[in-house]
Amino acid sequence: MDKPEVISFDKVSFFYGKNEILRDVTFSVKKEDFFAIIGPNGGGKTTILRLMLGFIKPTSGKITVFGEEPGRNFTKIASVPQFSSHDRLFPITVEEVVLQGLVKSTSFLPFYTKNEKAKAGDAMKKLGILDRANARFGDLSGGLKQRTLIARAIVSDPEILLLDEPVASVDSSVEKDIYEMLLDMNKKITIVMVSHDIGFVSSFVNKIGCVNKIFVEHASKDEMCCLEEHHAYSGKTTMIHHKCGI
Amino acid sequence: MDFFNALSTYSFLQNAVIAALLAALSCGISGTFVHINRITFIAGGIAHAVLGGVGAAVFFGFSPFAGAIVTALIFAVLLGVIRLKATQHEDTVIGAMWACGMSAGIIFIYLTPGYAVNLNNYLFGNILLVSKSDITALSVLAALVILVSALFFRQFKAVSFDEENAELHGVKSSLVYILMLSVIALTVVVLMKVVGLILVIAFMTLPAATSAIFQRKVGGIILLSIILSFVFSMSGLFVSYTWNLPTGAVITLVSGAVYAVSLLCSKLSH
Repeated sequence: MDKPEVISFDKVSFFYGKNEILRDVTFSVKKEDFFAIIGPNGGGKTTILRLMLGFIKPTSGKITVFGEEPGRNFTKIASVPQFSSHDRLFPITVEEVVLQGLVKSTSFLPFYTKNEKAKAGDAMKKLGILDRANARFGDLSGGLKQRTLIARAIVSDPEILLLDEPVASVDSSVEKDIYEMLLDMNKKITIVMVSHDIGFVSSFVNKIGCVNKIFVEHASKDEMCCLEEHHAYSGKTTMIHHKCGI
Repeated sequence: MDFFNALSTYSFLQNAVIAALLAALSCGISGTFVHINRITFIAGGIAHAVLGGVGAAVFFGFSPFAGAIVTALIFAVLLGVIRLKATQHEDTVIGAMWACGMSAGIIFIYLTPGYAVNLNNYLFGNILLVSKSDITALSVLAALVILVSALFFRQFKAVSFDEENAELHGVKSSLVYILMLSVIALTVVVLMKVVGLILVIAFMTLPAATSAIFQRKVGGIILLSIILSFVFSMSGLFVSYTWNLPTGAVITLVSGAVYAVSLLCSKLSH
């Protein structure tokens, strides 16, 4: 049976100034998909995530998230950014980072409630970082930072989880752990992630799209290796082709 | 008469202690947000530009204190917008406002006829000249700083750490950021009385930076900063009373020395 559509892109184009970043991108994400968007750096992957989150608006085309314009689904959609974007010296513990997943525009209590702390505890437990609750976030290894940010994203029980290069700077054993954890969450949560590297991704996801200004969706993983014949990447196929020699 | 006897005798010293306490409460909070956001330059910009407002108020015959509050808030909003919108040269713009605000103040004060304004009182403050009515005004400002920061504590922390995450949860990051700068602006005015505009930057950075060496949470840094600021001010008052030295400068040097020693100790212990 077909699952309901949660995110849809309909002929979406995006220009950053005069630079065309995305052209006529059309795809849809269905409930409980594990969707990977692969492409080279500067190919527009992160732009797609930012469009989904409503941080930027498309130049043309239409995007809907749960049938609405993006940016209005605060509790339903959660995002895991690249941890390297955070100040390493910021005074914050793992638990506090996770609790920030519960921040609201109208919470005027300086302290967190028991209920909120319990939720953060559950999320940390799921990600296996409960014993690090009081560690300083900036002191953690890349893999643990990533887990902390995933915990922050799931603490508010979102229906969609977006991840930006979740394994960009972790070693391959950690990478596999993180994917297995995501696969487990995927039983309940729709996951969209972007990556410049195919790596293990293909064995975990159920849908892959490739983006480099234009977007090509691949129904199955096997099709990935036929990319060159698509001529979709006109001249830029080499990287994708090379990486998918799985 | 020694310091402690004098303290129980002279009301100007008692006022100074109360002013130091109010300054410690405000700058413990604001300084921590300056520290974690790394916006010392913005805080310094507000502090120096405030002289423009003080000068204008003196020239047009308003209260310099009110002039300081209004200018501080205007610059907080302006600098906030610049920081949020500017794609480049943000530091140049802040530097220009810093210097031009200050210059305007100097010219206004120079042009003010008759009544000779002591520029030094605004630039270097004079905690020993704090009056009863000053205390009332400082209390109101400190209360505002504490109240707003308590109500928006989570949002302030969230926006400081990860603006986009806050935005995603419905927090209006830009507004919260400007509100945070406004709290910092009010603190600048409180500190103007105590240490003067030039040394505001010392109070905004040193206690929080020292606390951050020992505390791993924002709340902890705030509490320790409040305590440190008060202790620094008291020891500064004591030293300056005993040896007849300028108070603001003594307080600043005490803070700087403690920061340097703390930094050294933490480096050695690692």
